[in-house]
Order: sequence, then structure tokens, then C-alpha cells
Amino acid sequence: MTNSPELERLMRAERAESPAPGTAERGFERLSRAIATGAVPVALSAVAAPAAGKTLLVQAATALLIGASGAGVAVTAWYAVEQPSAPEPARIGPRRAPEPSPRSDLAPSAALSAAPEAALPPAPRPSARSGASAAAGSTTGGASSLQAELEILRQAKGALDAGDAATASARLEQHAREFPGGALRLEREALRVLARCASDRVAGAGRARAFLNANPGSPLVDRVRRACGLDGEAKIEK
Amino acid sequence: MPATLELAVPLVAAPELSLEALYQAHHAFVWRNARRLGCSDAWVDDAVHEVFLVVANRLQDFEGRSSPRTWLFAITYRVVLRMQRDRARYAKRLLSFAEQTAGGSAAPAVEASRDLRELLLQLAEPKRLVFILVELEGFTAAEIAHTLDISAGTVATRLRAARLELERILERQRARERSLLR
Repeated sequence: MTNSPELERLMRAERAESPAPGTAERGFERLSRAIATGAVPVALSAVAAPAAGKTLLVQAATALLIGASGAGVAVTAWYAVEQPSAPEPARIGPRRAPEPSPRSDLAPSAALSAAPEAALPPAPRPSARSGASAAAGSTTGGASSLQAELEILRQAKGALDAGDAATASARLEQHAREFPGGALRLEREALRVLARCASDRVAGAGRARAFLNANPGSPLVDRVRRACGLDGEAKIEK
Repeated sequence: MPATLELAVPLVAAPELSLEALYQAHHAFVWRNARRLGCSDAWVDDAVHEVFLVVANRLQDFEGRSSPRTWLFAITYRVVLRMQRDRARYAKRLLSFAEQTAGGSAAPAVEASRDLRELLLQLAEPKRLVFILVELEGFTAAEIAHTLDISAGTVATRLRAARLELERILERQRARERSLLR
């Protein structure tokens, strides 16, 4: 509370500010396209650029993994974070543990203007992860982890398109080892199903059904159904 | 208070996080605070875009030990600062070009404003951050202390100072307006 009715009024007005309708939807589509095309520093440049005329799936943040055959597959990256195996309560204490870094406090304005980033309120950083969670996640860490994930899956997809199921499986296992809770784990599971169906459609069908049941909303549903010969089942279900 | 509720339930117990879920839930939060930190309407959407690109890159590493809002606020602050510096450099070049071609300077006029965001820009950064987080976003003192890594006492001190300064700025503006009417 303040002693100024005018300030209170201005605060109420400011709290009521909100983006125009549709801003969030347009913004998310822009974000999705930017990530999908690798045109922004999300470090997707290692991923092959989408061929002209390919439809972008922008249901979520979409990454396009273009196969060597040129047929192309749109893989939606949901960038989901697996919940940590050892939940810890949010830290609400007034002080965090002492850190050796001199950037731990919000400096006076003069220091801020001189080195604003050094005085930044520190965001929770990857480096603060526990050893267990670090081992369970990325081996590359930080901003490059998504790129590393994509590169492995791109290699798996390339091998799959080239008919090399063994290499594809090896790459997928590598991804599972290095990124068990990775942002692209659903894409990994989808590619596993596709690899399985490519080598043994009958055996793969079971796995495909499990995937479809677990991820009914996945944009990969149609592709998995087609690749695993489940189109008929889909029609029957409908 | 919403911030208290968020912290009362550890985030790890919350439903799975995703970029889309974060975007939908917190787009308005990032938009509001980017403006409060200095974005004009002309580039606030670009700033929000940049913020969520950073989020996309770091989402896997977000531990979930703190509120997503404190995490997002810190990213927003960093992004806005960087964009302000970039824009200032660009404006400086433009100004230099204008002076060379027109032979004069184009100092921007500073006018009194009843818009709180413009008032906030007159506060020193530490006070502005505390004021935004407490008065406009309802963060708890403990949450802000964690976010800014300062003591709860410092939060209270900065908040009091911010309120007083804003009140004085408004008083001065009104006094100027009254003098113009005489």
C-alpha cells in the first residue's frame, strides 16, 4: 500500500494491462516456426533445413527432421521436461547458500549500468543441477543439449530412411542413454516404433499400438499408423 | 496471494512442463513485465519472442525448484537489458547520422506522464525490480529475496524507497502542472 491514491490508481491500471486477444497464439506460432526452421539461436542449425513446400507442423514447437530420402517427416518437439525423480520443495528461504561469485547480489544502479548482466538476478541455471539429474539428462548441458538431441535423432532418422535399422536403433539407444528425460523423448519413442515396424511389421504393431494409446494426441499418430499397417484399425476405431 | 500458493506446492508435483504450456500460462506475465522493464509497444512482442527462445533452449535444464515466474522474470530482465543496449547503439548511430545530415541534435522531450510504466523507468533498477515484483505481481518477500538473492530486509527497504520515490515523482509532476495553469 502507498499513501498516494493516485499511485494506487496507476498501479491498479497497470495490473489490469494485458496483451491484445490473439497475441499469445500468434506469438507461439511465430516461436514454433522460428524453432522449426532453425532461423533463430535455438541451435537447430545442425538440423537439415526443411525442403521447400513441406508443411510445417506448428501445433507446438516443431522440429523438422528431414530424412535422407527427401520424403521428410515432421516431428513435433514438445520440449517436455521429465519430472525429477527426487522431488524437492521449492526453496523459499530468504537467503541462498553463500556463493563464491561476486555477482550474487543486485548491485546499486551505478554498478548495474556498468555491468548489468553481472548484476542480474540469477536464473536457476543448469550448473545448479544435482549430479543425479545431470546424469539423467544431457551430457552436453545448457543451450546445446537440444541441438545434441536433434542431431542424434536426425542421424537415427537418416539411417531409418536409408534402410539401416541397426544404425537407427543404435542411435536411438544412444539418445535414450544420454537424454532419458530429453525434450525429444517422444520423438525418440516414435522413431523407435517406426524402426521396429520397418524391420518387423508384425512385432512392431504391438509397440505401435502402445505408442498410439499413450500418445493419442501426437502429430505422429498418422505416420505411425501408416508405417505399421494400422490404418485399418484406426478406421475401425472411428 | 498467487505467488505464495505457487511456492506452497513444489513445482515438481505440478503437471509436466512443456514449452507450449509455459507459453500459454505465462505469456501475459512476460509481456507485462517486459513492458515494465522498458519495452515499448513497438518491440515488446520481439522481446517476448526472445524470452521464450531462451526458455526453449533451457527448458530441459529447468529444475523446477523455483516458480517458473521467478525464472521467467530473470530471463525477461536479461533479454530486455540486452535488447535495450542493442537499440541504444542503433539509436546512437541514427542520431549521429541525423546530426551530420541536419546539423542539429534531436534530444527527446521528457514529459510528465501518468503512466506507471514511465514512472517506473525513473526509478533506479534495484528499486524498480522490487516494486514490480511486489506491487504489480504479488511475489512474496521471500520469493523476491530468493530471485534477487538479497535479504528479506533489503526487499522491504527497497520497496519502501520505491514507493516514496514514486510518490515524490508524482507530486513533482502535479506541482509542475499546477504551476503551468497559473
